[in-house]
Amino acid sequence: MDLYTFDDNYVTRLRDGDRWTVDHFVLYFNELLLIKLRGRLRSKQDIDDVRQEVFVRVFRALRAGEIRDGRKLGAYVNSVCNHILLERYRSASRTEALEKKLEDVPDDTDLETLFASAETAAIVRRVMGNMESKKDADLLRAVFLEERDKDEVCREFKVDRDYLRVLLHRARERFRSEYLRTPNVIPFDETNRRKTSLPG
Amino acid sequence: MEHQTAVNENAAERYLLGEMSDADRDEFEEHFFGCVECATDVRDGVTVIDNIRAERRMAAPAPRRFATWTGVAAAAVLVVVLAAQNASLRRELVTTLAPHAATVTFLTSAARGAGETPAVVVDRKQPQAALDFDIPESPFASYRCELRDAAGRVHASVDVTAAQAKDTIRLLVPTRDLESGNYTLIVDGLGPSPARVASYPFIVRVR
Repeated sequence: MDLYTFDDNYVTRLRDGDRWTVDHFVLYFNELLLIKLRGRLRSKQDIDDVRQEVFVRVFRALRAGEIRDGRKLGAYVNSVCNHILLERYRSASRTEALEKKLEDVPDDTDLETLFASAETAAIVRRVMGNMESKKDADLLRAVFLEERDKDEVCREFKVDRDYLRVLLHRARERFRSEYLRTPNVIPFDETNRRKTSLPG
Repeated sequence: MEHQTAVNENAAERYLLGEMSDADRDEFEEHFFGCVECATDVRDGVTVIDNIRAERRMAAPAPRRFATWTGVAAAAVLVVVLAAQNASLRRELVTTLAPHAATVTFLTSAARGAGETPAVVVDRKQPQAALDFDIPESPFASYRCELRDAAGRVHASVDVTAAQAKDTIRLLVPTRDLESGNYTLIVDGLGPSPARVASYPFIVRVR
């Protein structure tokens, strides 16, 4: 039995406060929320505030029995996040455009490397070092490290945007493959799956 | 968005490259929040990208943290110059990207446990001694840093903001103000409920 598939059983355990399920739920959606919110908010404090509010509202809805279908749990979390973002934008200014102006919020460059770590850095270095050509690694660095305009970079490297997408696809597939081969590494979506027995 | 559509259209890559319209982005997010496979693709992609970006941090010089270090230190260190005038102490807060050349000692918090108390070797031929320390992350908007001798006398005091405290702090102390003996740098969080945040004991040895 897979304990961490988002099904009705999962929702029941989550609602009942099963520790492993709650841990899995928070860990799993915490990262997805970070990814989503990082594209919309520039302050780590704002991101943390929204994330916390998402979990508060989702757990409240769970206890009220408003969520039953585990397959819709992810979409529900995303939807709650969207509502909170909308509330924030509205409360900022009634006449302001819904898209928050980036220049109005502090730039926190730590957000750019939230998912970097010493462990994954070593794997990414290997992936970059083992690319088909140095040009491919340089292309990715030009886009993400130097943050140059993508069209300009593609022109310079004489590739098109499709090539860039394929390159990124290959890089993340190789990262995944290397990551799974690394000893004692539990992929994030596998975290807590290793706990195969339910608590008493 | 159906899963196969997301795969066929390289949705994860387009999302990570910022190539989606707002509507497509919202649709894909709704999808991957409910799809473990696509969520994993996005997450792995973000990890690769963030680690490439993190090379920027590795390329920038960082303050070195040996017990003693002589030379010009690196950038992004808040430098506090404690200047004396006549019989009284006058303090001056300076933020600079090019700290003065000085013997630098990195102080460690007493809370970190056993270990040798750092020794600050003072050579009066050098006008200043530099004391580097990190303020532990704490929920205060500002901090007071006080340099006290063994008798508890405050030799100097300076306030730093929470934003400044994110970087290593460097105190430049005029060497003529230091005598051999035990000192402690005290850091208190300021606000409605002030509290001791850290203390950094060190020994001064005047050559």
